[in-house]
Amino acid sequence: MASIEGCRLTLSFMEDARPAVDLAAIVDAYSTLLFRVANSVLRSRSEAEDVVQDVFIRLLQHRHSLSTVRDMRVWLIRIAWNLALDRKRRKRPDQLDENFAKSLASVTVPADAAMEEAQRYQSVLREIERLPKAERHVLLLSAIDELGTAEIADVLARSESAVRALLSRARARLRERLEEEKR
Amino acid sequence: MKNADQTIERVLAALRHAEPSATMERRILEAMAAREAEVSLPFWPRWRSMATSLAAALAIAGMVIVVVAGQQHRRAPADTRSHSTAPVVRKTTQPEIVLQQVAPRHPVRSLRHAGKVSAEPQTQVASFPAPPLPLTEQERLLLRLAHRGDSDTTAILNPDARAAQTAKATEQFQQFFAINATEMRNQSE
Repeated sequence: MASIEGCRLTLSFMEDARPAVDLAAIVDAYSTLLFRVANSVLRSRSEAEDVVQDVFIRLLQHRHSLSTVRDMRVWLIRIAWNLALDRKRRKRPDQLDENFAKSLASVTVPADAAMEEAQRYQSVLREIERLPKAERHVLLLSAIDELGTAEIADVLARSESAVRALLSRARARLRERLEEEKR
Repeated sequence: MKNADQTIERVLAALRHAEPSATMERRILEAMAAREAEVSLPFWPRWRSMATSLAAALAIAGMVIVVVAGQQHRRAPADTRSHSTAPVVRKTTQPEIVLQQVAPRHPVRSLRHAGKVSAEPQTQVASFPAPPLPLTEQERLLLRLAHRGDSDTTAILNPDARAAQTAKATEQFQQFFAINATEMRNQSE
């Protein structure tokens, strides 16, 4: 439960007598997960946070139809996923991963080694982007611990077996391409 | 192979363990509170400013209509008076009347083309009469004589009466000189 002072919100359904939804609790429960979903696509903290905010604004806009949502967790993840994909389409590919790859490089190694490491990470990210769309999406969502195969299948509207097959193919293809690149 | 797997795992682990900033939740809740406050405004305050503007606009429009109507109402009697004091000839002069009828059809015309505009429609009017020609010198004299009312002067206009009058004058002349000639002859004798 979020206890942020002055920010306790409730979604009150005035039309009927259903219990009010504690919005702060929803934000507390899902914001980190939604951030990771958005960040897996955008690889930018600030943009991922903007996406999470947009998700909750959408939640407010649809508050009167929330009763029809079967699984709020999957519904929110799907909104975050789609908003992040929309935002990514507006970015140039070369803007995407440079800073993220640099942030992954170890700070304890010398600068030239860190640069080499960052280039390795950047090539992995570039190869991920070159994967077929379905394989890429499964791979990125599978990176998030909180998401099981069933939820990934729900978000991507595929069967669980299809998700497993796509994930296996994605890893194999990525490994193969990185090996080829190294040679 | 192992090295590639490790690199992939490192990248995926970075995505897996990404943490948002500490202020993200607060920022989101504040944004939602602002949106909630905006959405949950009751109907009247939300539309009050718009209704006030609309009422003001209607009031101004009404005042403008009243002022314009009042001005037109005042101008109409003044025009009537000016027509009544105008000379009779002006009243019956057709081109001016036609101009007044035609002018509303072409309200926006430059002054440069005003003559052309007024001349064109005049010729298209079915009942357009020719303007009265000015009187000749003889006609003016005749009018002057007729209006004086003297019977002798008026008789000049009648050829028969004029001939009779001339004959009478000649006879009187001859009688006068005939008498004088007789008297002069008697005196000399």
